[in-house]
Amino acid sequence: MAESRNRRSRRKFPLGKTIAVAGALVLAGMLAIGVVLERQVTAKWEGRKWNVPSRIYSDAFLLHPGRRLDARDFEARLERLGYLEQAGGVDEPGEYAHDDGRWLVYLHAFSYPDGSNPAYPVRIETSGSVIARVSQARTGKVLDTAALEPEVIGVVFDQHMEDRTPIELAEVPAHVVQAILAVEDSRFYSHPGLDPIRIGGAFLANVKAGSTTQGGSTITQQLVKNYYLTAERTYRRKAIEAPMALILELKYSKDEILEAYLNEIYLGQRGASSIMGVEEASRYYFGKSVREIDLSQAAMLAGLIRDPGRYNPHRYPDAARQRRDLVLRLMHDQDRITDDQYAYARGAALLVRGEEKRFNDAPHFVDFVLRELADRYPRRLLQSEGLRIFTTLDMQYQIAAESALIDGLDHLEEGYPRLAKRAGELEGAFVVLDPQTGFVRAMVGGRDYPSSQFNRAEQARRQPGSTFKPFVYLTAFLTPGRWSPATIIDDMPFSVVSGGQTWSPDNYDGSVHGNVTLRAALANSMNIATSRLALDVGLNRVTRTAHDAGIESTLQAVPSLALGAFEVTPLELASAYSTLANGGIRTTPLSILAAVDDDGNVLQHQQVEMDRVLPADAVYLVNDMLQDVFDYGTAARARRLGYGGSAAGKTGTTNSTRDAWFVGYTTEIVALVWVGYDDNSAIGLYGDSAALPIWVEFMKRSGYGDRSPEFPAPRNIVLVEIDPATGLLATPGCPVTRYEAFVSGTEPTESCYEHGGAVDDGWWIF
Amino acid sequence: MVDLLRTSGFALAVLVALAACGRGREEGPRTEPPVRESPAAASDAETAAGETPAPREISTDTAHASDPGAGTPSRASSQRVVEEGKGFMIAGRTPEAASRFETASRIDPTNGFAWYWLGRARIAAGDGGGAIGVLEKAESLLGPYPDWRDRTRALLAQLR
Repeated sequence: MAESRNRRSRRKFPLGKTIAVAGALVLAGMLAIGVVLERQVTAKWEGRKWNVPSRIYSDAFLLHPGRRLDARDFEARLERLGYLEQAGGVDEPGEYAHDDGRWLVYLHAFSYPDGSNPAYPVRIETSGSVIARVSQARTGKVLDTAALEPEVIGVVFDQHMEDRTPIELAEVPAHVVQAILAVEDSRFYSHPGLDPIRIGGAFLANVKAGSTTQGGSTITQQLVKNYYLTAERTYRRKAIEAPMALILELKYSKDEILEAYLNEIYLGQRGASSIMGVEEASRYYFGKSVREIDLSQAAMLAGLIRDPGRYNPHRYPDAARQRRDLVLRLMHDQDRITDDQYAYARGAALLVRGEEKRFNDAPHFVDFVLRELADRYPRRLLQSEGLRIFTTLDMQYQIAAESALIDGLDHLEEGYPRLAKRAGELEGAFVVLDPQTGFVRAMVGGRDYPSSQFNRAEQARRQPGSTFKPFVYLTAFLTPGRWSPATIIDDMPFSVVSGGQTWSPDNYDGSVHGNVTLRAALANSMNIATSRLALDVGLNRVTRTAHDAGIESTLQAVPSLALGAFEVTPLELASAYSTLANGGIRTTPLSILAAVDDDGNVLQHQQVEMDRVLPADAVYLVNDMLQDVFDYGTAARARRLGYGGSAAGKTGTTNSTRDAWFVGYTTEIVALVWVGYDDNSAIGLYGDSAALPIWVEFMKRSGYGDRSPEFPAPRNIVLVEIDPATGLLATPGCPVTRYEAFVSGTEPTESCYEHGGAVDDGWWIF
Repeated sequence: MVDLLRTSGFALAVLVALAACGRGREEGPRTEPPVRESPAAASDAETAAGETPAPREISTDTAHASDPGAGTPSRASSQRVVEEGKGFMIAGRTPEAASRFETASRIDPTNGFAWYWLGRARIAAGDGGGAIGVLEKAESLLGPYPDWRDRTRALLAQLR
């Protein structure tokens, strides 16, 4: 009975059948899991594998005969780009040597919007601080120009903050691949994704050590772990890592897997962003492409993979060197390199560029560029498509502007402690433009970007105060038959009724000056004389002139217009001055030169745009007058601070000293400084004491120095000797005379009558 | 007679002395405002002091009187890049040509020829509007080269 029950039971659940069913179920389950995993593997692999951040570059630094080259500044540029100084000569891209007026720079290869430059050594010979000759170092061929590549000034990341420059396997040098295979997976090309020998070896080593000291992961497994799975240590992750590795090997070739690995692997940290892949890591550690690194550097890079923090060559050079030597030994043991290569590479110094302290030296400018890009490129696209944005920024000017502003504000707070004893910080803005092209060369929107991203250079709307006055005088000179720098105007109090209210301008120090020339009135920033002039020439005409020059904000034709009562942004004010510096030709401020996709296609090219908006002769007269501001006007303090050039400039201070300004310019550069509080509180200082010292410091630090290119005179400008007291032709009796500029045909025709009268020939006076 | 001669001689001496004093005062040191030296202005000043200039029609020629960059190393480099660009223009490779002219104008912004040819390249690329501004820039710089200035003006006249 019992036997028959057992037989029935066996019949009902035969062992073989049970096993078969169980096996089938397991197989089906595995198959299902396999299908799911295969879909996961394929879905992420196909198409774009990574979000590649877009990079924003400064302008390239052109090297050509006649260019001023300050040794200290040039060296700083080279170091920021990761060039390493060599004692003798240069052998590889990224090296430079400097010897008494001669520079030898092995330029990196670089892809510009209009073509790629290969890496090549260039010789630069200077005479004094000016480039005398540029030549190809190998052939001696004289070059008209060479370019030091642009610097990265910003990167547009997604939320993962991964910095990566993808590279194809074919472009990665063999010794880099060999170094990585030697240390990470020597049987990569022979295993199916898992390496039992490696796993067994690691197991034994770990048992022997009593803890996990070795990993058994192959390159394929590492790729799966980093690319498909999260970093958390869970059984689920462990369980699917191996099958995914097998699937990856079944679906894709070894070279495809290796290429993905070379781009995916984590190799360090640059501030908050992760350095991913060998190309980006090579740029970070060596300042050059992985295509250009040597065997020793390749071994160091390969050694980093295991623990980039522990073998960081900047922080732990000894550990990094030992690790490099281990990789070289493994390469040698595995016959991947010869004895000679091994010996040479082991003896090589650990050549790494200095650790980047900061990544973004121009945060406000980068924001400004991103706002301009936003219309054309969505943020998501910038975070993923690896665009390269070429801008107009000059890093030397940017660094000088930023440091001059920050130090200047600190200095003001030290000198005037009341400035620091407030809830809000004393703030500032700095804008530098190239008036010939409209290039924005530097932009500082505040003293501390992390605490305030508000870009005061572009977004703050402030009253320009006296910096507006030149546009009043310019308007007058548009009628040259009536007005000239020698025209006498009355600087005595007056009142005018405007909008039902009486308005009376005062001079800032309460003084009055009587009859003065327009030149003296502008140089000394006289409010009364300027207001009277604005009313005489017509307030509507003044607004039109200012708009023509580049002021885009609304201006109202009321008397206080002349004294800069209507708000403008520092950038538009700098742009309007740029029109003066460019002889009446207005250039559109330009920050983006080109946008290029990751295949090198130019998506956008911004060309220089300009337009003659004001006559050169009238503008020349204003430029000529504004040069006096440094010599005996409101910016005379600049001389005491060590500025010896002959720029044109204008100070500005608004009512109750809420804003302090200085704009100084030559034909080559316009630099504007604003100082004030965000909440419009008074700073109690004038433009010459708060803003001018910052401008002077910028001129020193930027390397521009005292360069003083002349404002070219139009053909119809004549110089005539006059008596500045009367504005009439000088006579021998005049105690003081000066040569004054006039538009031809408008020079005075009467002689001075106050110092000897119209009869001006001393021979006949009896 | 002798007295007359003495008196005349004395009078002449006084005249010469007074004249000398007058000249000395004219050339003496100046205080405020400073006098800027201008070699080119001397003849104008003499004319102005010696005779009353006749009223003249105001010139509309605002091109510069001189070429500050002529003969400088920057100009030589810039001009060679211009020549390179012209080669691209002849070959019909306008974008490359424009790029060279832009570089040339950056090397030496006072090189009117660089701006002129940049204007020509923009015209060739069908961007007449973008050419006007740079040709106006060229015109202001090509004053010392009347032939080129006139060519520029002719182009501007067509574009406007």
